[in-house]
Amino acid sequence: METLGTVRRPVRDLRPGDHAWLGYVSQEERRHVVGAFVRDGLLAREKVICLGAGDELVPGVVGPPPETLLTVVPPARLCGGDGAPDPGTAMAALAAEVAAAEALGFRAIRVAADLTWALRGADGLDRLLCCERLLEQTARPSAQVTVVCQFDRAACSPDELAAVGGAHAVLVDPDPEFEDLVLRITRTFRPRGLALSGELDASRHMVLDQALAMVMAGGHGAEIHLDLSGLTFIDLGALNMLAEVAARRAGHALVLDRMPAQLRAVMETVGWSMLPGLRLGVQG
Amino acid sequence: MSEAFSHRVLPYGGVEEFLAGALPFLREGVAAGDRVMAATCLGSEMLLRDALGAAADRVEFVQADTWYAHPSRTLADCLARAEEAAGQGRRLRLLGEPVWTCRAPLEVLEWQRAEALANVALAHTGARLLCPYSARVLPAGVIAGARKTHPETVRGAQAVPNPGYLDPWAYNAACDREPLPPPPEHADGMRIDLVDLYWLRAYVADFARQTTLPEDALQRLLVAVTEVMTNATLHGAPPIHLRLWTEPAALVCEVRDAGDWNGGTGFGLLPPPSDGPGRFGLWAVRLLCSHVQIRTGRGATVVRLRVGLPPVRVTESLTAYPA
Repeated sequence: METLGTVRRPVRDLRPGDHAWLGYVSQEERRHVVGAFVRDGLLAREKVICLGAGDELVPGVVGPPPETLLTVVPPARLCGGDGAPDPGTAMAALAAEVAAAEALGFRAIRVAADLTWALRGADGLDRLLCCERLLEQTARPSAQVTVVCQFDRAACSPDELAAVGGAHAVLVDPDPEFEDLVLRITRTFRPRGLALSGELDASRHMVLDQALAMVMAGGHGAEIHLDLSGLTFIDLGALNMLAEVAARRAGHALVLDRMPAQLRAVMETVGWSMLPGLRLGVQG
Repeated sequence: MSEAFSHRVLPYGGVEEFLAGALPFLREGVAAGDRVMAATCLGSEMLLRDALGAAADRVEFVQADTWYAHPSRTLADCLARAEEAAGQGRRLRLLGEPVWTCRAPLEVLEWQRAEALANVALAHTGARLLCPYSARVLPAGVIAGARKTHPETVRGAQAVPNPGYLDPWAYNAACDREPLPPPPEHADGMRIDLVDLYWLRAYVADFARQTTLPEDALQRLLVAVTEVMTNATLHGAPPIHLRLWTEPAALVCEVRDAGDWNGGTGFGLLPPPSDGPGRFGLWAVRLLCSHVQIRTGRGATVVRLRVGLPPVRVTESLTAYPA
C-alpha cells in the first residue's frame, strides 16, 4: 500500500501538484480528512471540486455551499452511454470543471474524488488505473491543482489497495487535533483513537480532554486506543485523567498502545492497580 | 476472620526467645489457613524452617532486604497482599524482620514511620503482623522506638499492651518536627515563574545527566518533580523555587513555595483506596523517589525529593529501551 516513493502528508501540508490518496475505514475517517481538505479550500477561497459524492452532504461544508467556490460533480455525470460509470466520461467532466475554474482565475483548485465506484464490477482495477493516469496528468504538472482520491477499504482487496497506493505519490494523513512545540495529538481510525507525541502535563490536560471527548462522542462505546509511541513524558495528572475517563466508560477500556519502555516503567512503579480501566495494548 | 488486626513487636535476646515468639505465631496461621509470610534474613529462615518442619512449606519466605526495599512500596505490597487475602476470606499473617543495620538515619526514620502507618493502612484487613527486633544487634533507640509504633509487645506466650504506643498520626507528625537542614551553598537553583513545566524538566534532566543517575530513574524523578511543581503552582503561593544538588549517593531536588498546606491532606503517606480511581499524586511521588521530605507551615512549604545515585553510571539502561 505504501511504496518506497510514498510521502505521508497531513491535509494542511498538501500542495498544488500533489496527487494524494486516502483509504478510509469509516465514513467518520472520510469526513474527518476530506472535510478538512474541503473546508481549508473554501476558507481560503479556493475552488473545490467534489467528484462522485452522491447525494450526501459534502464533508467540510457548513451551511449552504458557496456556489462559485464549490462544484459537486454528481454520479450521473460520471456515467457513459450505457448508464454505468465510465472513466473517460468522469475524467472529461472533471477536466471541464478544472478548465472552467482556471478560466475564472482561481489560484488554487482542490479536487476531492471518491473513486470507490471505479473498482466495482469486472475490470475494476483497469478502469480505476485509467482514471488515475488522467488525474496524474491533471495534477502533477499543475501549479494549481491538488487531488485527493478516496477509497473505501472495505470495498477493496489487498491487491487493489496496493495498486492504488502505487498510483499515488502522496498518502494523506489527518491534520493534528492539537500541535505546539511540546505536544501533538492526532486522530487515528485504525484503530479508533488518538496518537500522542511529545510531552503531556498539566499545561495540556485540557486539549487531551477535548480530543478524547470528541473521539468518545463518535465512538458508540467501542474501545479507544491511544498510540503513545511518540510520547516521551506523561504526568500523573494525565494518567489520573485517563483512568477517570476509562471509569466513566464502564467496561470499555482505554487501550494504551506502543507505550515507550520508560513510561511503562513509571506506570509499573506507581502500580497498575491505581489505574483501573487502563490496559496495555500492542507493544513496540 | 473473627479477630481483629494486630501489630506486635517481639524484642528478643537469643534464638530461643526468637523462636518462642515466632513459632506459635506462624503455626497458628498455618492451622487457621492464613496466608503466612516471613520476611527475614537467611539465618532466621533456616532456623524457622528447621523448627517448623513440614509446616514450613505453607509459609512464604522472602528475603528481608528485598521485602524491605522502600517504605512506601513495602507498605503497598503488604496492603495488596492483605486485601487480596481478605477478599478470599483469609488473613495475611506476616512475620517481618525489618532491616535496620546499614541504614542512614533518614532511612531509619522512614522505616519507623512506616511501622506506625501500618497500623492505619492495614487495620481494615484484619492482618496479623509480628516484628522481631534483635536486642543484641539493634541500638536501644530502635527498640524503644518500636514500642511507640507497635500497639503490643510479645513476651513469652503473652501479648501485652505497650504503654508508650503513640497514635500513628501523632508519631508521624513528630517525625517531621525537626526543620530540614538548609540546601548546600553550591545548590543549583532557579525561581520558577513559567507555567510550562516542559522547560523545568529540561533543566532537571540537564542537571541529572551530569550525574550517574540512570535514565529510568531520571524518568521517575521527572514525573515526581512535575507532580510536586504542579501542586505548587495550583495550590501553593509564589514565589516558587527549585533547587538541585547532589549528596553522597543521592540527587536531591527541592521545591519551595510560599504557601501553607492545610492539614488532613495526609501528604501521600498512605495509598489511596483501591476501589476506583482516586487522586494518587503525592503517594505516587513517594513510590517514584527513594525518599521524600515535606515541611509546611508559617508561610512556606518545602518538598524535598531524593533519588539514589549509583557509584558509576550504568549505560546499558539506555540501550535496553527500544526507541
